[in-house]
Amino acid sequence: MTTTLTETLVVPATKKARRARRPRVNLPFAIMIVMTVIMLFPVYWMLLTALLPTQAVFSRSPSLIPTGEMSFDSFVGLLVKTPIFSWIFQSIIITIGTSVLSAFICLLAAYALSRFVVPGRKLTAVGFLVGRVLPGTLLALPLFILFQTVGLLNTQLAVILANVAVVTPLTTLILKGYFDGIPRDIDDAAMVDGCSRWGVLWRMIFPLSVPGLVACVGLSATAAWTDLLFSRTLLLSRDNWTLPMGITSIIGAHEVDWNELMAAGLISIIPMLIIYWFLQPHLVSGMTAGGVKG
Amino acid sequence: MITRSKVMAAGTTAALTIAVLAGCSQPAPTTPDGTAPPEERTLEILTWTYDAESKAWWDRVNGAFEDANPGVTVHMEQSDFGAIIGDFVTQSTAGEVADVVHIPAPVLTVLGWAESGFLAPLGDWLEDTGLGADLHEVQSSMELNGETYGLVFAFNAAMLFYNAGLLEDAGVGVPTTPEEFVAAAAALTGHSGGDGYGFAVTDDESVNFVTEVLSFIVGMEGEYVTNGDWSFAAPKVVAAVDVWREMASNTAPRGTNLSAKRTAFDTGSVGMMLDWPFYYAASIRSASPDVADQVTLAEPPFPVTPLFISQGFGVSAQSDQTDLAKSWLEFAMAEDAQRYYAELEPVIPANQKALSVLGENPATQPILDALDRAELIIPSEFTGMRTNSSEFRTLFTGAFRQLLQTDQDTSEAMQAFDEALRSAGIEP
Amino acid sequence: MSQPSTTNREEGVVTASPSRGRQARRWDWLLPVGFMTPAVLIGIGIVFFCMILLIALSLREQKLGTLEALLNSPMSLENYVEIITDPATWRSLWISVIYTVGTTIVPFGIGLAFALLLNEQMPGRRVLRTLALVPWAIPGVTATIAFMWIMQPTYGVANYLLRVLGISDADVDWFGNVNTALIAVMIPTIWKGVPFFLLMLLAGLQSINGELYEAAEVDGAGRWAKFRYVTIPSLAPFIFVSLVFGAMHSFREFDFIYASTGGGPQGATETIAVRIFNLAFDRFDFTGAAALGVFTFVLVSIVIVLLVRRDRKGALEGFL
Repeated sequence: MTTTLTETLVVPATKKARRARRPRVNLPFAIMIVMTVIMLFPVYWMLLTALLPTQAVFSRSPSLIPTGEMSFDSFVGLLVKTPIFSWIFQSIIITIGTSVLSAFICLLAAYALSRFVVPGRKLTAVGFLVGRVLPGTLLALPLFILFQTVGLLNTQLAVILANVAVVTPLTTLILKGYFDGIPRDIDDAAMVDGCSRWGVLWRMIFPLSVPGLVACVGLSATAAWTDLLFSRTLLLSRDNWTLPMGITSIIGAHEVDWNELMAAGLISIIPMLIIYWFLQPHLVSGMTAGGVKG
Repeated sequence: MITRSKVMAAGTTAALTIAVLAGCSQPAPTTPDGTAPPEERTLEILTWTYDAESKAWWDRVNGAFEDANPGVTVHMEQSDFGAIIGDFVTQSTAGEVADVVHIPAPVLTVLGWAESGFLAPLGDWLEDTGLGADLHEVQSSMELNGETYGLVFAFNAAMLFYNAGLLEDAGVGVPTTPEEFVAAAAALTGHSGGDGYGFAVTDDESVNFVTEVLSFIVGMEGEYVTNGDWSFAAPKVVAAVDVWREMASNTAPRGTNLSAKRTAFDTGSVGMMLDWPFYYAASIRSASPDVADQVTLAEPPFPVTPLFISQGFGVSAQSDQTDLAKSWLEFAMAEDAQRYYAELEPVIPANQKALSVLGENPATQPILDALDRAELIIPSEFTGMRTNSSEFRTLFTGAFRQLLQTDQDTSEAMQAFDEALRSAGIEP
Repeated sequence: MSQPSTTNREEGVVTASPSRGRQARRWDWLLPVGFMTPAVLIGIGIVFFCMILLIALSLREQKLGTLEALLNSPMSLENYVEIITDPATWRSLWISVIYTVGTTIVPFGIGLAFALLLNEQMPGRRVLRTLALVPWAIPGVTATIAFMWIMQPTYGVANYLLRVLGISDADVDWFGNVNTALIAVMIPTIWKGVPFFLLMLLAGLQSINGELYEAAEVDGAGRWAKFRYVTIPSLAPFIFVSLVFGAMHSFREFDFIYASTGGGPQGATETIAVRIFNLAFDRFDFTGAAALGVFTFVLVSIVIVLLVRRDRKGALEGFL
């Protein structure tokens, strides 16, 4: 039997597929390469802008392939002239804070939504969906007032809470979907053995929901890392600047150093790429290995 | 493997870290109203220009101020240009805002802010200090209903920037009249088969588009308001618009916003542009190596020099130390501070006594020369236009960008524009 | 003991452990609510507070001022009347709809394609998966400027490629032309939106129980049948969540549009989010902006509630 693309698409990535039908040209791979190149072209362009003199990029015939004039001055300039490490550090604090806090509260809420008939759960679900309608720019003032009232203005905690508020609805519903996919029999079996609800959550459900959690952490980390609105509204002191704020400040009052701006943008991807890289293996669920047996 | 205990440990650590850091972050310090010297007080200033280039000026003025007022520290709050209006409005509404605010595009912002009660009146203080007498007459733009709400700190004249090398190569002289301007731009465009353009305009939806077109109009003595009514259809205005249209359509790259226009000039793709003098030093800094020493400032090739107010200072009405704030303003507006700023940028200082500094550098002498025949492109008395600047701008960009994208007859378009303004209820 | 079940929606009573007895019932109610509280408090509470404040502000006459001044200003429905009778409001809503649909469906499709591909074995899959997430991590500011450069009419590489490939010689003013502006602002949004859908759908694909495919095969299902009857239904919750939240996110999107066109030309790209900002910070009409925000909120909420109530079996029912 010859292999078709459809076949390779629908059969999950298990050893079975590999063993039985091995395509001569890995078609998905080829397509993936092409699509990746297209998708990453803007990033490539950012890289060129950072490395080449502006003249070479901003012209009627820009050099698509850098020919000789590359220089890393912009990157070096950034590291030397700007407090970029401080910015990165501040962003890391907020990102970790947001990821951990939102993962924790979502885990609890998702489990409750999945396993129990919680009073007002439909209302809650609707509330989660609907709370994401208002544009951020309109929320800036009320959030400022809210945090001013509770005395958290100009603190990282305020930015963390704001980010968590924005991300929680989505992550909770994702996790709930995941939990729904885990048979209740596991819960029951564990409880019959004398496990408490809390124990069931941590010992049995949690390990099985890792792919869902990974998606959630990816979402909340990205939201916190790239957030500009909340940090700009709530953080008033230069020392607290996050990376996006720092990058924006390169758009100076007078002129813009385009090389530096693009270099800064590219540097800011690196920590996130590291996180994504380490999250990758955990995206594979234990469930496909058929670990859910009685 | 991810175990429960590991997660708990991580979570607890993170939570503790957050708590510690949150506690450590200092909220913006508030200051008590003090009378006994030397009390620890902080003066907060909100600006967008506390960056590498202007820092020297701020540090000098703040240093002098702190020396003269023991116990006082100046705290700078830097917002970026795109965000400062939003930040000031948000903070003022919430009642937690800096004491002194650096006002961007005062022509458009001061009236709205004064009406909303965000700015403290400065009229009496101006008289008491005698500072009012030293200020250029453009200061009148900072008044609402007879009361002054801000100080013009610096303003700009539309100057001609040109690339001396490119002009020389094309055998073109520096233009001094609109006709020469058009001819020079045409000669430079595609000179010797190259990709170059003679001119560059701001072609977007922003205020910069409006100010540039108005610069052409006012520069060529067009009066777009006559007897209190719109007169964009007046012959002189139409003639000026035609010049702009000709240059923008045939001798300039398309769709360039302000930074693209400047980048095009800085990289030598474009031979000339009209811009505010403060960009002169910046241009030399950002220009490509072969362009940097060719950048030259000249008087605009118009009978009238267009003026626009770019920066002002105001005292926040919410501040509880307005006196301290006002005394800071005295330092900022003092002759030597103004001289230093005008030299650094360069820009036209509001304090007339400091004007001569522009003449001390031959590169900036043209600014001084141009000032003799200068007029505001948006006169102070056009309060209707200023208060409804957003609607005005939307109609304006609609009408004028059409001129660049279609073949519409200029005169007809201007008549339609006058009509559109009237039916929108916008009065000058 | 149990057979693997495909759906786990058990409407009904909380299963109390047999060994606990009656006493358990009181605590069984407390536990789920307790679990829910932090999420509800932060996720809904904060937005709720903002809404209250915005409603309070929107019912005032004064356009802008300090909080005290605004809240003391006479109450009036003036803002709502202005908003509802202004044709620009309805145009903005329409543009928002087009923008939202375009920037949700397209990245969804691309993301699904990526997810299906990346679900397969291939060399360097880990690298490719990481690379595919890059657009997500780029700060909005940098992405906006990069795209504005790429799509600059005279100097942008996009038009250069069009010239070089012989497709078009015109220097298309993507952001400046009324006809192309909306599409132009959609492009960077779509680009940045793909990783989100990719992640959601890939996680969903990974969660599909392999045994389901085996069972389907045993029943004689072919490739398309497996895709249609196993993959898609199992993915349904993820499709639903990603589409809904993706749409919400697009609806609120502001940075790209404001930085590139400011809502112009002539309002061609003025979505509701941009319009609200312009009202508040360009026209200094904060109470009007609040009113527009509340009005939009009510409209969208009605749509959502209708969506939820329509009670379609399958994705929706199983999800809420």
